[in-house]
Parts: sequence; structure tokens; C-alpha cells
Amino acid sequence: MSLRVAQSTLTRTSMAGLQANLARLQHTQEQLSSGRRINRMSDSPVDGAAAMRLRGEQAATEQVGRNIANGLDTLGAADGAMTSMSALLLRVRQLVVSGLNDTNGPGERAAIAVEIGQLKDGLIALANTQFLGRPLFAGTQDVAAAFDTTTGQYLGNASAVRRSVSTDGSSTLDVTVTGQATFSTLFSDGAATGILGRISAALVAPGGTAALNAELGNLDAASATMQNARSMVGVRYNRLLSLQGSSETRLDSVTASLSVAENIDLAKTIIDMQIQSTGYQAALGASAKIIQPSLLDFLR
Amino acid sequence: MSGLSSLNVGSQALSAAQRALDVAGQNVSNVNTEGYSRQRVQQTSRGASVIPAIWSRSDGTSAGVEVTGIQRIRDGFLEARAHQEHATNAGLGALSTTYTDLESTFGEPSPNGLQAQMTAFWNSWQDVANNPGDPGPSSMVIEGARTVASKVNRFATQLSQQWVATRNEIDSTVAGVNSLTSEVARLNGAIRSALLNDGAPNELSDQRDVLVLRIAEATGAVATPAEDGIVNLTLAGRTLVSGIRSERLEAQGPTSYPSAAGTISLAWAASGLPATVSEGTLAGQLTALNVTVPGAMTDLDAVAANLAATVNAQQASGFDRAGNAGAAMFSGVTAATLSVVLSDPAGVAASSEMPPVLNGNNAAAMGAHAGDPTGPDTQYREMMVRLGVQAQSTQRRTETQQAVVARVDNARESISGVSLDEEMTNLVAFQHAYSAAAKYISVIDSTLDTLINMTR
Repeated sequence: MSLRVAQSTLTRTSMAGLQANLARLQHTQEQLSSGRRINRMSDSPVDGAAAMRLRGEQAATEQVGRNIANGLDTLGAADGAMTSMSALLLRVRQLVVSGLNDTNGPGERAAIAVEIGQLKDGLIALANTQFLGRPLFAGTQDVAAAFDTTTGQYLGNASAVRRSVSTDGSSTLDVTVTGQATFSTLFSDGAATGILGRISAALVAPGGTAALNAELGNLDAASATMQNARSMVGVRYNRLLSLQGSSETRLDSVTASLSVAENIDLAKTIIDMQIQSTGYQAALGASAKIIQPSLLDFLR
Repeated sequence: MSGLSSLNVGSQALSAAQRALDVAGQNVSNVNTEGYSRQRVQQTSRGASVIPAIWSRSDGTSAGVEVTGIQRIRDGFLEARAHQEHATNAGLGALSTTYTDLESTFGEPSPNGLQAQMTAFWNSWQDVANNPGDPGPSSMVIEGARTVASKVNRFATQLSQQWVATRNEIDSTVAGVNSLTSEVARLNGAIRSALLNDGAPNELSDQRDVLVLRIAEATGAVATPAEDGIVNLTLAGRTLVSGIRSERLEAQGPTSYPSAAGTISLAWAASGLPATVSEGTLAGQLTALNVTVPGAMTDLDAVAANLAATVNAQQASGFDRAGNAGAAMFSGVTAATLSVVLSDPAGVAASSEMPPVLNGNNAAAMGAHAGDPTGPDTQYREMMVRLGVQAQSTQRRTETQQAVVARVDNARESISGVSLDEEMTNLVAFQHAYSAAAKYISVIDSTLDTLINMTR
């Protein structure tokens, strides 16, 4: 290329150089002020796609965290209700044992029967415990209460209530304690009166000691069932807690990856800006020096 | 040779130096004029008569200097190259603007983009799954659906607006080209008549060549110099400007989007035949109108249709609070028409079984669609990656092309540009020549004086 240099070549080159420097500075400034390396997809389509995918995964992981928290609350509420019920069942057992004692006359036994009746009401109320507006022990049935308060009939179903515990929804965890399996023998066996009802009946019936003895065994069996359910709840609670831990770890790592894909390396960007700003000043200085003089300044 | 003819030699030298000073002045005055080509005085030494004769013979001494013309210094090949590179650059520039607009429309990746809102929508279904009886999360689902739909609608509107704006731009570009071509034809005529009358139409030629470059930028037209200083322009082999005649272009096709009336094309206004433009601003704008923006709209339509189909199908496989199979939540199969038709939270089909069972299984299954490998989210993400890659490659090509254009322009400047140093040097040189000529005249004058005063 010919080497004749015209004044306008100098001007054009200076302008182009200054423009390029300014454009770089502006790009760095955009990154610094937004704190993000990728402000549009064309900045880096690959990292942009990764950022979009990670942002989706971040939200999904947060949602899993919410699902797990909801499951923990559900199980906690079930455990709380069953703890209270166990205490009440213990009291029922004491009363039955004292009812078996022959020193008690029919009057005392009738009083015991009344107290057991009240305990039954309390137990049914606990079995109807609601969580977020729905009965806790009714499975997936859409009913106001798990047990009929007068007949003790189970109104729910045996279906499992599940919480999704993975981001793709493939893994779920059962958070149900079905009232049917756990306490229905207490209140009703099918259409018949349940253990508590039979105890009350045996207490007031003359010569009901044998029946009462039999019901004591049933009562112990029912308590054992509930203890089993409680330990099952405890196992699931622990499982959910560990899932919560791993979900939080996952969220941290996704957030970190997102930040790597999307956010600027502050130190690097600031150094870049310093370099570019120095380059810009050098370009300004060079332009000022080069554009100004011509032979004109040296002719007399 | 007589003493008087020596005076004549001196006066020619004076006027040649004077002329050269004038030209240097003209060059200095136009140092920053766009398209100005520096000029040089062409001078030749005038020889004595070389025609053989017996009595009237020259003694061999020369007869001074003669200015034969003022040359406009310009490299035709570099000009043609500049036309080409400027055209490519302008086309890429138009396309690059289109991609920048598209990217700012979608605004990804961002915590507020469509992607984030779709994720929030899917997540709200999981909340319904956790608590299927509560109308709160169900209302959230419907609100989320409305947000997504309105976002998609807004994208569709913005794409249409961008299309219409580009359509208006192409009209004004074509109008600009038409007025430029008629101006070039007019200047061609003026240059020709100036040349025929022995004028020096250098400045007119400069003016015309600036316009020719603008036409080339807009259309990629090819300029061919012809006799009498005129320039002809052709577009894919067809005449755009021929001498003092110019052909008009027009843009054909629908003026609104979307439209069933087909694509935008250019045609010759007189004959209605299609005009081929493969370079320049017009080519870039045509690509934007016929390929880029409609392509983005098609992709967005596919995302909208997929979203509506996915949600509606999952709705239909569940049951709402009343025990009916879930009604469609979205209607419309394009980005512009996507809307939410379900307004009652009780219509959200959370349960996979009929009442009285109320589980959240269907809502959980809906929420899991967020990760579908062929779902709307993935589709949208792929669309954004495609857009990003295309935008990036267009930007890079534009940057490269700008560097090429800068190099070509510098090369042109190095031929045609005015160098002040050079002009100052010339000024000094011709000033000396002028002084020397003046001195020569005064010497001849005193010689003649001596001769005249001899015969006292």
C-alpha cells in the first residue's frame, strides 16, 4: 500500500482509534455497572444459554426446597397430633386398668366410662387435626374431617400424599399418615363401635371385666400401631431433613455456577477498565500531538 | 529569438506559477471536503518550432512553459473496491441493527425475562400440588399464566413494530436512492457539457462520485466510467443510471405484519420487473424483513403453541374442584393471540382423580413440564441461543468489514487526500518559481533597457 499520508487519513485514524477505545470502555462500563458479564445473548451465546438453564434450575431447586419445607411441616403437625394422642391413650389405659379393679363400684365405673367418652372426643378431635385447611389424616380425600365426630367413622381414603423432592419431579416422598390404618380401630371398625366405645360399654355392663380385659389388649395393640406410625413419621422427617440439606447444597452450587456463567470477575473487569482507560488516554494524547502540527507551523 | 519573446517566456512562467498557487489554494481550502480529490497542475515545457522550413527557422531555444490541464488525482480501481466494501458494510450494519433490536426485545438472560416467568409459572403449579385445596396457589397459577401470555403478546407486538419500522426504513432508503440516481444523472449531463466546452469539471466529478458511493452503499450498484467523464450505474447487470437517464426503484409487498401478502421485494418502477439487490443497506433491510424478524416470530409462535398445548393437555388429564376434566387454560396458537381463558381458580385441575379425592398429582405433573426436553422452556432457550449466535456472528462480520472499509478508505485517501505538508511545500516551491520568473522578467527588462538606451 502506498505510504502517502494525507491529513484526513490522520484524522480518520485518530477518530477510529478513539471510537474503538471508547466502545471498549463502554462495554466494560456496562459490565461493571450491571455486574453481569452477559447482558445480551450475543455477548456469549454458550454462557447465555448456560445462564438461562441455571436460572431455571435455581428456581426449580428453590421450589424443591419449598416442597420439602411443606412436607416437613406436614409431618411435624402429624407427629405433634400423634404425641398428644399417645398421652391421651395412656390416660385411657390407666382408667381401664383402674376400671378392672373390683374395688370400684358401678358408680365409679360409670364415671370412668364418662371420662373415657370425653377422652374419645378429644382423640377424635386430634385425629381431625387440620393442616393448611385440610384434615391431616384423611389421605387425599376432600373432606372437612378425617373422622365423623359422632360415629367415629373414617371419612378419608388410604391414598398417599406425596411431595416432589427432585427438580425434574421424578422423585417423590410420601408424607401421609392415613387415619384408616393408624387410629380407626380406636373409633370404629367398619360400622361397629371402636375400642374406646366398647371399653365404655364394658365398663357400664355388669360383669364386663372379661370384655374389658380383652379390650385392654386391643388398646395396647392400637397404641403400638400409633407408635409405629410415629416412628415412621420420624424416619421420613429425617429423610426430608437430609434432602433439605442436599437441596440447599445444590442451590448453593447452582447459584455459584450461575454467578460464574453470568457475573463479572470484579477484579479482572476493573483491571481491564484501567487498562482500557489508560489506552484511551494514550490515544487522546497521541491524537492531540499528531493532529496539531503541520508544516504550516514552521513556515515563517 | 527576439527580446520580446523572452518577455513572453517570462510571462508564461509567471502565469503557470500563479496557476499552480491557485490550485494549491484550492486543495488547502478543500482539505476537509467530503469526496474532494486533490488536484495537480499539469505543465509541459514548450519547445521551439520543429516544423522544417528553409527561411523561418528556429534557433533551437525553447519557448517557455505551458499549463495543459488540471488533473484530478484518483484511483479508479480503489474507488470500485471502496464501492464494494462500503456496500457489504452497509448491508451488515442494517442486519446488525436488526439483531440488536431483537436482542433488546427479548432481553435474555435476565431475572425478569420470559424464561424466568415461565419457570415461576411452572413452580406455582408445585405450590398447588403441595396444597391442592387452597384457592391461593391456584390463583397464583392463573396470574402466572397471564403474566407469561402478556409477555409473549408484548414480544409479538414489538416484533411487528420492528418489522413495520424496517418496512418504513426500506421505503425511505428507496426514495433516497431514487433521488440520488436522478442527481447523478443530472451531474453526468453537466460534466459532459462542461468537458465538451473545454471546461474542467473536477469539482462536479467529485460531487457525483460522493453520490455514487452513497448509491453503492444503499444498493451495491456497480459503477462503470464511460466516455465524456460520465459514470454509468448497474444493478445486477440492469441499468440504474445510464448517462443522463436514471431508473427508479420501488419496494413492493405488504406494509403491515403479519400479513398473508407475501414477502417484500424491490422492483423497477417503470417496468415492474423485479430488481435484484444482493448487497448494501437495502439487501440488509430485505433480509431483516423477509428472514430475520419473521424467523424470530415463527420461533416465538412455536414456543407459544407448545406452551398452550402442553398446559392444556395436562389440564385435560386432571380434574378441577367441580370434578370435571380440566378445561383449557390457554387459547391461541401464535405469540400474538396467546391468551388465558381460565379465570376461576377452582378450574385449575390439580387432582389426578375425581372428587371426593383431591390430590395434587396432576399439578405436580404440570410443574414437572418445566424440565421437558422438548417443552416450551427448552424451545425458548434454543431460540435464544440461535438468536445469540446469529447476532454475534453478524457483529463480528460487521467489525471485520469496518476494518476492511477503514483500510480501503485510507488507501483512497493516500491517493486522493490533501496533505497540508505537501501543499505547503508546493506553495513554497511555486512561490520561488514565481519570484524567479519575476526576476527573469526584470533581467530581460534591463537588457532591453540597455538596448533601447544604446541609440541615444
